[in-house]
Amino acid sequence: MCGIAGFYGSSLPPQEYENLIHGMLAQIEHRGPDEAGCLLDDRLAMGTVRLSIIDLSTGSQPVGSADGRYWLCYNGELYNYRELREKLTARGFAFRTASDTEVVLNAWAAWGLDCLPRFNGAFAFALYDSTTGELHLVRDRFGKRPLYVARHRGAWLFASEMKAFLAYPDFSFAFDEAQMASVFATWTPLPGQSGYRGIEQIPMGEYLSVRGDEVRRGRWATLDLDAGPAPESEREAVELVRADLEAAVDVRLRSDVEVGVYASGGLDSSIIAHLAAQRTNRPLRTFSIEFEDAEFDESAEQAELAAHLGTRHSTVRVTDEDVVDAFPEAVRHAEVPVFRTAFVPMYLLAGHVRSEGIKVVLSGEGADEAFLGYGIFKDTQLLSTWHELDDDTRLRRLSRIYPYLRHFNSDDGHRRMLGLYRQFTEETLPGLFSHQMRFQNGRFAARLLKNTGDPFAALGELVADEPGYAQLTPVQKAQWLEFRTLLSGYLLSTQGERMTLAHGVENRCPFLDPAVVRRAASVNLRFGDPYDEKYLLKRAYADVLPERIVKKGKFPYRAPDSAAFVRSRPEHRELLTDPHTLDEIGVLDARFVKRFTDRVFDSPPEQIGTKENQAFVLLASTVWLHHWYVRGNARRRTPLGVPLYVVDRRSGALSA
Amino acid sequence: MTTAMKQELKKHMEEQFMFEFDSDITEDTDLFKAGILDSFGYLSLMKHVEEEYGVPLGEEILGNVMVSLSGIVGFVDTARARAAGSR
Repeated sequence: MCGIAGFYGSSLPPQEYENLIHGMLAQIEHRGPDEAGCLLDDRLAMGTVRLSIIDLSTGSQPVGSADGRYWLCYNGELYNYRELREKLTARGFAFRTASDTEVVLNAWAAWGLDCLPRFNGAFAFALYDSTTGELHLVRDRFGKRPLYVARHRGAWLFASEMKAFLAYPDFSFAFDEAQMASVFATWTPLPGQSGYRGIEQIPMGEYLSVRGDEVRRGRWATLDLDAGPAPESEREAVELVRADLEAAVDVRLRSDVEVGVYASGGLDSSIIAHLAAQRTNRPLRTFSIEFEDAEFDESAEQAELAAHLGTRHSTVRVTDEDVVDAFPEAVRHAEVPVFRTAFVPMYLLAGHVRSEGIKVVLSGEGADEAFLGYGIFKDTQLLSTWHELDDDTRLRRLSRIYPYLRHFNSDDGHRRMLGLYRQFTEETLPGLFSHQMRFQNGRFAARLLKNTGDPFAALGELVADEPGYAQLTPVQKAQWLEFRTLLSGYLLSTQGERMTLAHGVENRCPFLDPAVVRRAASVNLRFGDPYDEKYLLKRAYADVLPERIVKKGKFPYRAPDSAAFVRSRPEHRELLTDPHTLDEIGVLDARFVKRFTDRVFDSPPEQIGTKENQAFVLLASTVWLHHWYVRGNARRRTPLGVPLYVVDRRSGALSA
Repeated sequence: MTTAMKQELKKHMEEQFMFEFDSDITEDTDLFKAGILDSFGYLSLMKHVEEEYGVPLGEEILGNVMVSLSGIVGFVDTARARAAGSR
């Protein structure tokens, strides 16, 4: 795990390249606090800040191929690097290091772009072909590692985090009105979007290649949700799921440093903790968040799991004040508007993990998307069969969709839900049947913006451009949207990768192993009860996990939101409504912002519902992003502080 | 009664959902599509209508009501008339 940054085709004097790339790397030093390295050539400079996990002694970057043609700056882990190394060795490639980075480099030399489907990993990299002068920017299949590009005065800038661009001369940030409307309505930047003008993110499973003025883009991985015939029996399905998950955990425990596990107390991370504990010689380190507020807390389940597995468990206790105090710094790392505060405790947890000496953690992320763990999949089941059911059946199914939401759970509540769901039984957004209710709910936050146009236009284009989307079943469409939007754009990045890497901690997600996702697709909805979420996962691990965890059902991870700000930081009312700030931000409707903020601060917390809370967090994060990025306060004033070595191909010099 | 009910509902909605009826958001506007209501707001609004006006919301009727001020007022009127007729 690391961070990369660089620029290509700059019109600046070449003698400035070295200082510039140092400055860009300094901006993302938190991602790689162990060492740094950079490559300087006639038309580009690129570098890496490294978090050393595999091959601690000789895995430095950038790495050049033996013939000096290819150069690689790499952020990530290639879990199947040993198997690929054997294949490459058999083909005659020699290795100078024990790192996975060199495997990526030689795989490219051997197979070119065709190497990518062979990779099982989480990565984003910049690969420079010094013979052709071509720069390739590549991102992994599920979008686990970030990679941004920006055009600026003829140059291509690229980096793991946008804040690196602040170190490039005259680069400035401005919110993009249309993208912000999309972010506010759908809760996440869509593939390719960043929220800022002129900055795009390479979408998951895609690459961008530049040579001079030529640009090529392509997708190397598609999301395969139609995985062919199902296993013959439930028992066989359970065994196959177990085998795939065991293999996924095995390769993710490959590390030269100790690996811990995030154990939330929920089913998914408990499965991972169980599998990891079986595979480690010393007591497994597990980590979790305890909330002061019982509404969010799962510490009883966490403690039971730790005792059951015999792990060395450690928690960080989070209060309302902790969330509010850490919010600005966590937003600085998130870089994009955020719709709920759950990323802040994750930021605090990663700091705790690092302070305990752990650099790598496994987590249960991806299980809900792969194995249909969310209520939205049950929504889709119900709405897509609505016209075939009578009202009694509808009511029975409604009662099983969101058992954890209090306002839905009474006889009256279910009856009102029936009226609510009737509003969404006809498809009004082409191809987006599954998410209509969520997107309608999301429209409220868009009212904070001056101009929204059609906030779902970009989403409509995304779906329209996707080959094969129309042929997916309603539930597969919902799944596709979850993978392509909220998982990649929020859960894995803002709530996941950015928060761990802010403290130099790498997260690995066994449920997002390609084989596991394929297997999930082959067993989903073919066994058990579609209104019992993650049925097969429960069946597969019911005999080894505490009954309480398996039977608990979905408990969405959440954190204190607007009420925490109102209670502990009343001065935020002025901060969020300052006319000068709102005028500079440009995209917000100052009148509605004032009205909305007054309402939140003047109302009892119980009168503030989900949509207001989400709008509040989107507003607060946008104001902080303006402070950090549009005003430029995220620009670092101190130079890169880690050991650095430089490969200068222009002179052939190597310096340290 | 319809006028009084409409005024009360109008005030309730404006306060609860932070908007004002004007030339953009009229009594006939679908409040879902306008970004005023979400599912939580819908359920609380229906609860208010049931409790304030004593009209049990039958699912068969409710499903055909567009979620606008005039739609809800019309629905309550119709439901009351039906209840009165059946007595």
